[in-house]
Amino acid sequence: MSTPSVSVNRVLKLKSSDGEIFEVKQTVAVQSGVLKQMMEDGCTEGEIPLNNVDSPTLAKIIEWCNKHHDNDVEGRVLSEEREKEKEKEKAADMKKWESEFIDALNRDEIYFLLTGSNYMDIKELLDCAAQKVADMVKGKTPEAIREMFNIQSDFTEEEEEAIRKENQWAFD
Amino acid sequence: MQKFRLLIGLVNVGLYFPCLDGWIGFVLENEVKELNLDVQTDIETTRVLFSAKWVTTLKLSGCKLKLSSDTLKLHSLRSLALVEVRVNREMIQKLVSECLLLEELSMAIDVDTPNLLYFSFVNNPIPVSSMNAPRLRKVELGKSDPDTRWYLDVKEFLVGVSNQIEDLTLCFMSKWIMGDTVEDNEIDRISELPPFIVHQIMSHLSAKEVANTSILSKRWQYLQRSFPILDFYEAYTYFMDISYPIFSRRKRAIIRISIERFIEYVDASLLRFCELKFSMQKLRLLIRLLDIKELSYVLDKWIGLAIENGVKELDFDVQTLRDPVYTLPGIVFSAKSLTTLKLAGFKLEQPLDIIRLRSLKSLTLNYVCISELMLQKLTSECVFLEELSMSNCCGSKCVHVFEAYKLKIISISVSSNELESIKIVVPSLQELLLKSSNPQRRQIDVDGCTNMNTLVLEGFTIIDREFHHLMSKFSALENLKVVWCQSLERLAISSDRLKNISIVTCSNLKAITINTPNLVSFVYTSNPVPISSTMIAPCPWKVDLKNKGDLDTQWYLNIKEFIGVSNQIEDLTLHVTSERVSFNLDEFRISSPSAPCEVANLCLEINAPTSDYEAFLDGILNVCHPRTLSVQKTQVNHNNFVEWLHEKMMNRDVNCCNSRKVKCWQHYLKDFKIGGFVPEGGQKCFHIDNLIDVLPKIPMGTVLFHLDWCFAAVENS
Repeated sequence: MSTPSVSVNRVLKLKSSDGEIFEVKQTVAVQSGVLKQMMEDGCTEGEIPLNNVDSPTLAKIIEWCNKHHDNDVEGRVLSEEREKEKEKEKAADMKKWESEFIDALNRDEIYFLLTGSNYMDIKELLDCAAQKVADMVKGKTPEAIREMFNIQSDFTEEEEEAIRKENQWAFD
Repeated sequence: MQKFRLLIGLVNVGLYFPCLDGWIGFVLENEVKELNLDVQTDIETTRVLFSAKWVTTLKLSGCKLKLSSDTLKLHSLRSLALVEVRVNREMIQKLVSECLLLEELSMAIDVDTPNLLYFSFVNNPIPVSSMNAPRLRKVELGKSDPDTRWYLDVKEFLVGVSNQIEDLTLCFMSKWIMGDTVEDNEIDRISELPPFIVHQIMSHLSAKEVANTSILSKRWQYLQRSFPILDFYEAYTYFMDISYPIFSRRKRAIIRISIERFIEYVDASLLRFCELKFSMQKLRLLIRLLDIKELSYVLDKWIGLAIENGVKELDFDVQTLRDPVYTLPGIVFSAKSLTTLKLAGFKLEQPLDIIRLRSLKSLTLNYVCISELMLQKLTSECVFLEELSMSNCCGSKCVHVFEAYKLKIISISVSSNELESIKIVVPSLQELLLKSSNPQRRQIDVDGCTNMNTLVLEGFTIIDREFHHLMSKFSALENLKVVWCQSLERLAISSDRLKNISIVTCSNLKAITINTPNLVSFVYTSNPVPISSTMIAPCPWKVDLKNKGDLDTQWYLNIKEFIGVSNQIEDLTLHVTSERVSFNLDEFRISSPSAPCEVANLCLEINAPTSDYEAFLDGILNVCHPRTLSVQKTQVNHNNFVEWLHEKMMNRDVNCCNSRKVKCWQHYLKDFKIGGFVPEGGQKCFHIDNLIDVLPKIPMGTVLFHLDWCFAAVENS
């Protein structure tokens, strides 16, 4: 009988919605709430189908998880001396890596990353992608936001004017 | 209820069928929004389903839908998916025509037709889950707005079906098709995201930006209205900037009307959110009590609504001119889901009942009137409380916290004379911050916090003996910050555990003894130069010394003695305001023959007669040899010092000490370069070519010089 606990060398086989198989270490996979739960329940034998995540998105998600895992492992072997500063430096490096990772994605890739990380329950990645979309929205007029995301307004002119008025007085 | 999802294999229909109907009936009563049933059998689905007017997403697998003669009441249905569902054409037509909001319909069927030749399905997505049709030759597929996923589906379908397809027709009914390729950019994906994800995005936006999203489309209006963080703080700050008296009566009336409209807006937003029956994450509000009569009635109602909707964070600031008059409604004490409570300007009255804030972890009280007993009741009955922060509170002479077993952080800030004593007996406490802006003596008894890790003491009148008594109690202390404790004169700190020490603005400090072999950082800011010092602190130091009055050789000797024990001086800053500066090199060398200390960065701000610059510079450069010298340019006379310094450095006279045995600093300075200029508040360093020319033109900031020192050369010659 296999033990349900997480072991360093074991890998999970993840199957994307378009049928591609990805191998990922169990120690990396624990970042996903869904996979962690499955491991705890001992049902990770064979291929795990991820029907809502396509292969380009899954590849991105695994890249992100691997990077964050490596960082954690490095953290543990650090000596106590100057611990804080090293941590700060590493946090800054990670921030930089994260922003480069996210900035390299186009709008649709971010969209799939949002739904994918939500589906796999990876909170940090979801939040990172959400932050990116928020940054895109910040400081833009409603018209610019609509154009950017191709949102079609289904308000009549009168309705739109009414909402505009309601918001306008509230925020000077 | 948001979602109900069930997979069950109903083998014994007779036994489970009523049970399933009961479950469906129950979730529908609870206004479920997403329903996903996979029952893997052939049974007919309960008709209650057709009256599910709250359901937006319905997915049925492995069941049977029988035509119903009644009108369907699926008023909110936007997405319908039928997988392996037995349903006839009439029923599908009825579904399509009577569900007015339906945006997405998908059907997946098993096809087991070995002789099929022609297959046509112009819909989205590909409706087939498994297909057995080896003779299939002609296929017709279509979609209104094809996306990448659809192409993948088509590919999968074709590969899975047969390798002998001769005739493939794809129908696009899209306005976005240009030529052969699909502009993926033209699809509005963000609006299709589940509300939870959109709300996650919104949580990174300001309240104003969130409010503005409601104008994008009806979908976004819904997303904005259901956003569980209701923040009305920022919107009101506009009124806070207005002080009434300066305006005319007419203008005041206009403002008053605006404020009334603000209240209507808050009221409407809250009611709208509560109608949706989602649980509230956060309610944040700022309002001035003066602004409207009957306000307490409105506030009671708002707080009540938030608590009824399971609010987790409540942040209310009711500003008053004098003492708090508005009493917090008692319902708050029964808010079981509340984790964070932040109140300003309230009066807390002791409830008769037990306090049921079972989830409360963080409590912040600012300008709150609270009695000694009420505070005790709160801290002892909120059993999961981890953080307590009180500032400028009134209503009690004594803050006494005990029987709080999870408390980790306490922060108390006092401004009035009312509070006389602080007694904290919390063994779990890790961080304690005590701050006073009033020099009155208070009794502090925190001996019982034996596991304390961080202590910040600011503005308290505490004498040396009391301080040393405190320090002796906290053997686990790692971080210590002492700020503006004017009655401290002789400080002695000794600990193996301490990692960070920061001593700031203790103007009467005369002597300091520090024995901390494991220190990581030492900050000593805006204190006078200690007259005597014994330091064991092997870590980088940041030292900032302030001095008023005459400076003599002894002053420099004191600095050297103080910093001389460290070889890791990162910053040494001197603020000097003096009428008379004198320095005698011979006297200095006799008392302190050792070499000057190495300092990474020396920062000077001097306000003294020009004739004393020489003595000042001589003194400080015999104390230390800085690699970088920064001079603040703040006023006109500082300009003078920068100019003077530049002149002096450029025309060094190496023959000055020929007749003397002891040589001055000029003989050790190998090179002097202008490093640049950093404007005030800026980070970027600007290059400067000709300092004297540009000096009058540059704004306030810091002028940097690089100094290169050499010892051997002089000693050998």
